[in-house]
Amino acid sequence: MRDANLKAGPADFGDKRTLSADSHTAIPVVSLRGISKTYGDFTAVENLSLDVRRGELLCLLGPSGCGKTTTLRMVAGFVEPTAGSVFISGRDVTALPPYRRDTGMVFQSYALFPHMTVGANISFGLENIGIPKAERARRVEEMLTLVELTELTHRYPRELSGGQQQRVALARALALRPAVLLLDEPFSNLDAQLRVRLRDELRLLIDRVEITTLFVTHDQEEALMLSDRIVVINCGKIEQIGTPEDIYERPASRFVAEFIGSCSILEGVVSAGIFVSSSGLTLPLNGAAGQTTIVVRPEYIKPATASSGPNRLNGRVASSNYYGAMSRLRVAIEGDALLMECHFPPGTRPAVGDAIEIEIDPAGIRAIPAPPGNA
Amino acid sequence: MTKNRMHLGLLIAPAVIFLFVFLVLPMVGLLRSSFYEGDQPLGGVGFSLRHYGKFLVDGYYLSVLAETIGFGLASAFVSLLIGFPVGYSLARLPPGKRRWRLIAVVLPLTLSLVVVVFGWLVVLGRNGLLNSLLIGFGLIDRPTQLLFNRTAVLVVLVQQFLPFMILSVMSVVVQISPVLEQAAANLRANRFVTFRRVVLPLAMPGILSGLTLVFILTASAFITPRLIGGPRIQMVGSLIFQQVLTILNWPFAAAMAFVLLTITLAVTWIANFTLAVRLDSGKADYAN
Amino acid sequence: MRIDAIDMGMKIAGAIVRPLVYVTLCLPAAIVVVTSFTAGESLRFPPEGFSLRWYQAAITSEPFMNALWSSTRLAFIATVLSLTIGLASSFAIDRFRFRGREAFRTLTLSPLVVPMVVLGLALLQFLSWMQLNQTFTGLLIGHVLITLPYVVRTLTASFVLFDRTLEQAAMNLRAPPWRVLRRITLPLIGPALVSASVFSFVTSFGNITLSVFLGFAGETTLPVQIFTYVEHGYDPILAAVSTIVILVTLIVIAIVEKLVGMETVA
Repeated sequence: MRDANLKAGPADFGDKRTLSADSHTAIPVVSLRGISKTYGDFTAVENLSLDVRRGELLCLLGPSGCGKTTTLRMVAGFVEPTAGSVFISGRDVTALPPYRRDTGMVFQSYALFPHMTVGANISFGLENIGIPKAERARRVEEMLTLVELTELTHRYPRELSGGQQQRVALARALALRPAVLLLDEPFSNLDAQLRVRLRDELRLLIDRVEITTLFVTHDQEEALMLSDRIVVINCGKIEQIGTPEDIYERPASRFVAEFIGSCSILEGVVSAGIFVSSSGLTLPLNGAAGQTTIVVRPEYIKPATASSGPNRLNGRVASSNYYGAMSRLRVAIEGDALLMECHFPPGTRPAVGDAIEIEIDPAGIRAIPAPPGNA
Repeated sequence: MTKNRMHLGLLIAPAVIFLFVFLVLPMVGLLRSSFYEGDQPLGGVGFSLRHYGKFLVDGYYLSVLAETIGFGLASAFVSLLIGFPVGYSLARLPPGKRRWRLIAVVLPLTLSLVVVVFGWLVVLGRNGLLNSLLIGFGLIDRPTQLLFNRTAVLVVLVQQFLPFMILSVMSVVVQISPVLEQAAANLRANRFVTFRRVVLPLAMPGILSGLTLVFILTASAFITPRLIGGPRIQMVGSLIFQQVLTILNWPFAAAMAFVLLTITLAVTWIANFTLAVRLDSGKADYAN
Repeated sequence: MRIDAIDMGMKIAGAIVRPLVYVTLCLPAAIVVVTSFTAGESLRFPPEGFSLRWYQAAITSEPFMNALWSSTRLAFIATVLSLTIGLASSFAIDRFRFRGREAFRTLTLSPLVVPMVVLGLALLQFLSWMQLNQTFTGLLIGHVLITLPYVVRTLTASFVLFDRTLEQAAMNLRAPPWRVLRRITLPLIGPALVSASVFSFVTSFGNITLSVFLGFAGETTLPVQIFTYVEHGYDPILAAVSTIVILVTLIVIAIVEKLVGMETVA
């Protein structure tokens, strides 16, 4: 994607409707306050509050059925919250129908109108907000240039590839210069290779246009890669909000630790800076006491070398798998199993059953805060 | 290979023979008899256009033809107007709620027509439901004649064929993803704009198919005009019946039958053609 | 959630039109059933009193009971014949590739395209020429003609959904073709066969237009009997008889609903 013909600049997007006189105190573009949604007995979303800051790409991440899509739809207006309020650009829009809200949504299936050309699809929203004909044509061209599909103006959606359809759907949503862009699992319909390539392009596009984005995914790799901040959601509640690094390195709960990346989890007791697991494994740990759960990310465990310090442990290889850039080993130590990931030069990868001596970087040993109300 | 062919032959032979003998031949025979010179039911001879001439030139018969076409068009469009909302809602309802409503729509089709028409006679009769209601609400003093006029015939015709329209609309709307309507709403279209610019164009095939079906069924109707319309209201169908069973002028009836058939085939062809044209050419150019 | 005036208008219009449509669709049949229980002499609504006298009259009426028997017998035989021809045809359409397959399929569905008055006249003429008019056979032929398309349509739809790998699995388990047909194929299309029979039966039982043309004094079907009666005047015995027709139809339809569900009709 090249900058050369870009006409839409950052100033064109989303900043027309801030109410406050002191607009330098950035009002969050989207604000959810105490949002809940229940269907009969089932609670999809429970008392959820969050802010989407201007210009950020915020990701709602969680397993299927956790309520993330429901939340997105409540922002768009397709689902009415059972309780709570939705604010867009400082205005309470909870009572507004979807066609009166300043959002641009890209649906999982793209939802391009099959009976309209690419150009007509993009023009549709502009007609609805009363943009005159000449200006519409200009904007359509601008959008298509932005997504590099100008030669497809007169084609029909069925003639386009999956990636092209996605770009048209983006162009269509962005044409109205909404305050916030909503993406509902935008990559789930594409095959793996395409997915990776389009992720990069999407991030570049969003940066270029500087539009606030809220997007939903169950793919944690995607979330880590694309987001400025991640909201991890489970069973309708927020588990943790933070930057990708926060989420990965300092998970706030067992769920987050297990959902994002892989790890080893050990339960045990800490006293005087020593963690003792329930099966007797000891590790150094500062800043915690009593019943503790610890998380160790696999990249912090390496084969011990001559210069390794006192944190060396002896174990046996329980499983050994090759993943190209690195190998993943499961090492059994005194009744626990630890997951380690590192690169082994060809021919040196330990086999199942081998004895192995490992070293754990203390920086990678993290305590998970106990859930409130536990003994 | 040959054993397969033999099996195939045995399987399709019954239908082919049956339909050829009892459908194709009779239709050909009917066409032939419409050109007979005489007025006898059987044993006609010769070749003449006088029956067609009689039907298409005579003012009375032409007016009946016009009336039939009029009823067909009216019935088609009225059933579209009131049937579309029902078909649309059925397509969007979850299966649980849909079930009973669908039964209510399909059931009238399964009942014998004569029972349904008889029911309308009771509803619209002098001492029937509608008169009782009107008197009960104080809108009229004495029972009035609600039957034997065009409106009554149209009402019964519409009710009769409405399920076909509803089912046509339903089956086409089911294929229109609701996400498209949501996308339209997200693009600032209210329900009316969404209907006009997204739902309607995409539902066109079903609408055209429904209109065609209702038109053809209405134009061919005979029981309804005869029982509900009385002697003053005739449609081509009831005329044919009269000619065949009372007057016994079968060649003339045959000519009328073929005029009717030509009209129904023409309407079908026009509808299919319109559909094909729509599918080929693009719609809504973006610069409009 | 607040809605615009236009949206509100559409919502209200829909909320009025839809129930009205459902009511109108069921109205005639409902009225017939209600008035059949009148104790009075005429078809007035609301009916005067409650009585089963008209059912008594209907059951003891020779013309009507003969007609009921006639209709039932005719529908049954027509269904058996239609099913046979129809099953063979749909099997051929589904399992064989042959030139003219589409044409054959269209041929089997073509009776539906011809207006029934036209069909009635054409058949009457032809049967008369063959000296088969005013015979049970002639009437039967007509009924098979109009029920066959429904049977073929139902069965071909079912065949399309049929999972052939089940038959292949059976063959892999050493079952010869005849056994595969008997133990696997037929049982699995059983519901479709029932469904097709029901459509055929109901279509034949309720048919009026064709039967009016092809019927005769010796073999009057129930709808024709009702029609003839109505043309001369009406009294509540017609309501009772009509309710019997409705009842028979409903019972038969209930079988479809139980086995296959109404969704397949639409």
